[in-house]
Amino acid sequence: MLPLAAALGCFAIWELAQRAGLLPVTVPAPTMILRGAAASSRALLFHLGPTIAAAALGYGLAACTTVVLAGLATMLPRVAPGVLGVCIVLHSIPLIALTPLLVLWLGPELMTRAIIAGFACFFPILIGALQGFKAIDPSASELFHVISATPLQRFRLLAFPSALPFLFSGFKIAAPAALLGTIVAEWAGASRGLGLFMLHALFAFQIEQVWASILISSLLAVMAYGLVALLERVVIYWDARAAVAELEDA
Amino acid sequence: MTFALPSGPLTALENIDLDVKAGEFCAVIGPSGCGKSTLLRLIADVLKPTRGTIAIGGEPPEIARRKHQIGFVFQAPTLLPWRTVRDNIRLPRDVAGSSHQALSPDDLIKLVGLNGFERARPAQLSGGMQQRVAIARALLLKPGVLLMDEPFGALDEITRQRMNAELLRIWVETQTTAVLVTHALAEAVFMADRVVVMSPRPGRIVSVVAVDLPRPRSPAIMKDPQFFRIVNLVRDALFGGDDAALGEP
Repeated sequence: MLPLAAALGCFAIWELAQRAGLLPVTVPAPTMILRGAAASSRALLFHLGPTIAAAALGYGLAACTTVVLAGLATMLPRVAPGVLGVCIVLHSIPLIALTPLLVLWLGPELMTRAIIAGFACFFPILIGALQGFKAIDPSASELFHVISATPLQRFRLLAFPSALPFLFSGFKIAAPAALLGTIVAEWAGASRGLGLFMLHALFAFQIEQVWASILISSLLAVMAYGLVALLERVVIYWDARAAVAELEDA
Repeated sequence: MTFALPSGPLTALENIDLDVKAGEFCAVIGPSGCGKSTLLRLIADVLKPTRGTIAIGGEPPEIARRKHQIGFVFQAPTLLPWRTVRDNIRLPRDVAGSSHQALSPDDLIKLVGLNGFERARPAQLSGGMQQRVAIARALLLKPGVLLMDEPFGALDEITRQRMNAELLRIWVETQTTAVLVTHALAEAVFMADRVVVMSPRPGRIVSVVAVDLPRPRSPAIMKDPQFFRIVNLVRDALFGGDDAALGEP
């Protein structure tokens, strides 16, 4: 409840500041933004769908390929530094520079935007997965050796569950990144999408609509994070912190 | 047993010649760093010896391990936090396949005195209770050898004595050969038929003290003058004349 109250408080201060004339003309009051959003509500809803679709698709693609890549890197330690190096380079290329090139190369379809969203969000997933697959308790590792588990059993019964908390850290960070990456992709070339709406409103000098789309995309990013966090609570049903319990009494 | 470290070879164990009889309870005691944990891991096929051979029931440790003849209890309970108590005990069977002969997890839960905790998760149990689950897990496939690496090391003295009595009761029921590594004198003498005393690194067997106290043993036996006599024998073997044993390795 407290974060919600804090947010409303910020909006209230914003509104008052605008009424008092303290803010520049490019920063409208929240009530004016709401009115602009209501006026363009049909357009906004029209553009929301493709953005969410591209972001979700890109996120899913990134999650699957990155986890598999991290798994391979863990099983073949010699290729791991090379893989990590390539990924760091890919991650360091500014998306704003990469996006127009990709759109030119692959075309302005949904898939291109999904791939760009994937690029925007894969790195945290990679790091989470790499850390996670290494985070096996050494005693548990010995245990699995003594009970003669096969490598597949080791992965299924030990490595994968041990990795889940780390995987989800990566998934949570990546979720908003996928959405924001999609919007950047839409700036470079798209027929529909929130980023496109934002661009049109910007060129038409419809300030309220620009702000509305910015706030909506922020809200979507927060919701994406929240969804993954909720999924984490369901999947990780055990107390992951109590890996080493207090040895006090019988 | 020599480890190859970046700093140079480290000889953990030397000239170990030990014969443990079937059904015997053998305690291994020695100062920190004397290689007793290494010895246990060599028996369990977690490590391979650089020289010499080990035989469990006439077979090399690897064969015994693959036949699920080895039960190991670690210093930390090492339970899987995402499994219930019952599922944690069942783990060796899940791995070995249902064709393997096994005790019933519910019987084992009763045996280790954890009735009512079948569906509890490790995070909800105290350290002593978690170790009891670990012991039950080690016994599931009816191993020929039960190896224990200072299982009660982190518990307080009172709990420890209680757990020792419990473990003896469990051992009598299952009649496995047991090797217990410990650094507690009283525990070693209370539990074992023989106490193997080791020297600091490189670990050698200094002496083997026979514990000819009658069984079944209850904690009351620890007040017996015979008990003290044997503890002193072990104490002398550990510290007697060898000043190096008193210092840290």
